[in-house]
Amino acid sequence: MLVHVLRRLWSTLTVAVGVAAVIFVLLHLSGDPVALLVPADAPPEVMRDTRQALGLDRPLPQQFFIYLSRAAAGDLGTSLRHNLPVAQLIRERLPRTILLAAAALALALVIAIPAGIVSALRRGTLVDRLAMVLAVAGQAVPIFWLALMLIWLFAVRLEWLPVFGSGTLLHLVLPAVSLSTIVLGRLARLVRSSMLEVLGQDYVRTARAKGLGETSVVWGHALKNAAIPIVTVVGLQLAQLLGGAVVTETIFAWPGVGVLAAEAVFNRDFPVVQGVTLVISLIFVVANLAVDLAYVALNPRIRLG
Amino acid sequence: MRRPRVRPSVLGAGVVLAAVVLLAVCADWVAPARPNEQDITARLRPPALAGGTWSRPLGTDELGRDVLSRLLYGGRVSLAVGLLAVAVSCPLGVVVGLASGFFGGWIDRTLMRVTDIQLAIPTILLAMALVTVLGPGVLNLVIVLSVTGWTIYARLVRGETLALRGREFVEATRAAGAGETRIMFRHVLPNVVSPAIVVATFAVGSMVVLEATLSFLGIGVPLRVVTWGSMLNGGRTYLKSAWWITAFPGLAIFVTVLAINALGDSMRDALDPRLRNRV
Repeated sequence: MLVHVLRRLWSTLTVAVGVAAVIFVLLHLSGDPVALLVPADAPPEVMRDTRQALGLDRPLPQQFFIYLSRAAAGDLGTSLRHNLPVAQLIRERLPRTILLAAAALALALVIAIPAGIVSALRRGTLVDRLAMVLAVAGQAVPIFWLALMLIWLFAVRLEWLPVFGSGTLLHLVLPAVSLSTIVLGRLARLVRSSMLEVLGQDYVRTARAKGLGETSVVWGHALKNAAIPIVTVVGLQLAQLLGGAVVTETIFAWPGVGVLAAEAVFNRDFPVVQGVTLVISLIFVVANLAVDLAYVALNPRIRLG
Repeated sequence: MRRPRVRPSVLGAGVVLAAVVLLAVCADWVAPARPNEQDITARLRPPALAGGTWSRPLGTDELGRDVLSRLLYGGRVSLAVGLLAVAVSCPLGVVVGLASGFFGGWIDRTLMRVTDIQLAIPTILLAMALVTVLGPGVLNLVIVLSVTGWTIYARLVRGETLALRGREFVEATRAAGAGETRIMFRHVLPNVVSPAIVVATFAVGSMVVLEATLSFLGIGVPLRVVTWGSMLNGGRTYLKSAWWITAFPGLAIFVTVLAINALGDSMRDALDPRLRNRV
């Protein structure tokens, strides 16, 4: 057990360093940030001084190690654009992104799990068909388009909800609904098929034969066993969810790290792009570590593996 | 072997896809206008059924360009980019997965760690970073999409290969004197191809969406290139007054991806039902 956890921790760490390295190399290939910082007609000495001040004149591996050791201490550099610490910029906005992603995930789970269960229990009925048609449609709809259409309908036409910005709970509705479709359809179908698989098993029949109520059979026996593929997919879909948040945030002007990253890409503000990508990826890696450890709780057989 | 019965949803999906591809290919003959042809006197005209005229069936945009024509021409680039991206990323991922699963050891560890690293970076962010490096352009977009897409095949094929590696037919072929490369490509590969094809089918849909997302954010194709994504990007400013500029290209993506997914579903059921919970 301890070995398993330690091994997972080690691979998590190497992946995190790998992500940092990939982003670092990519963004250094993307152009000279100094050219963007100084006036176009700046003399070469100014260019050289700026480069030196930012440490951009050192060899790449050295720059990377400096970056990495500082990042480990919570210093992600300074934004070239805002002239503020990247860590501070991210800290200010990250809660909003997490709020958005969490709301979307919660919404997806609250809808997908009951919908999947009902579909599985009422297989072949109209309810099942309808739920699955909606799930398939949800998987195919591009979220940014859905977001625009929702804005048009609820904010422009009906004027029920605010279009942009954040602040109240109402501002959260449209972005969360749009973002949730990224996982909703897939999740509902997965819950349905995992439940179908489990419902045919002997232990479910035994539970029924024992005279257990349907609620207890479904939630206690079946869902618990169907949970492993569901938890896996939720863990993996987190990357989609966090990536989708970038797009959703730009559409709704939701002031999270997504908007920060999108602006930074345009401005070639690479400490920011680097910082956001690193932090988001770390969240994903840590979440998957948690998922891995959750398996152990869900399925004692894995403990030995 | 009995042929699987063709489901109505598959038939529908096939018809829709064939129509979309045909219309895109024949845009030169079908489209009422050139995609970038401007008519300043007819700006922001509504679609025919919403009070417009039949000469502009789906209305016009802010520069008086015909939405239907742009939709048809845009489909060309969107579909071509999606297909090309899959055509590059699928073989790449399959070879990586095959090598990883077949050789094992440090090759496997290295390749899978690289895969893990890439999977940890959200696709959109990776694509954004890559676009910053390569710059905009249709070819660059194909490269970006291909780079973001190979990991899923690598993971899948590695798993399949691992399961096959110890099987008797592989041993038998080796005993018969076949070289490792030959075993890998002639004997293992054919057995792992069908799950990869299933995944590739779904991937065409996700690539179309990813292209649209990047072009929508303004970092995909250059402005003059018409794709469904760039149409959406142009139309979002006029959402309040002219919904049709945004509604139709999105609908086109939606319907296309829906048809591709339906096709993928049925291919999975026919070729490899075990994948049901994985893709």
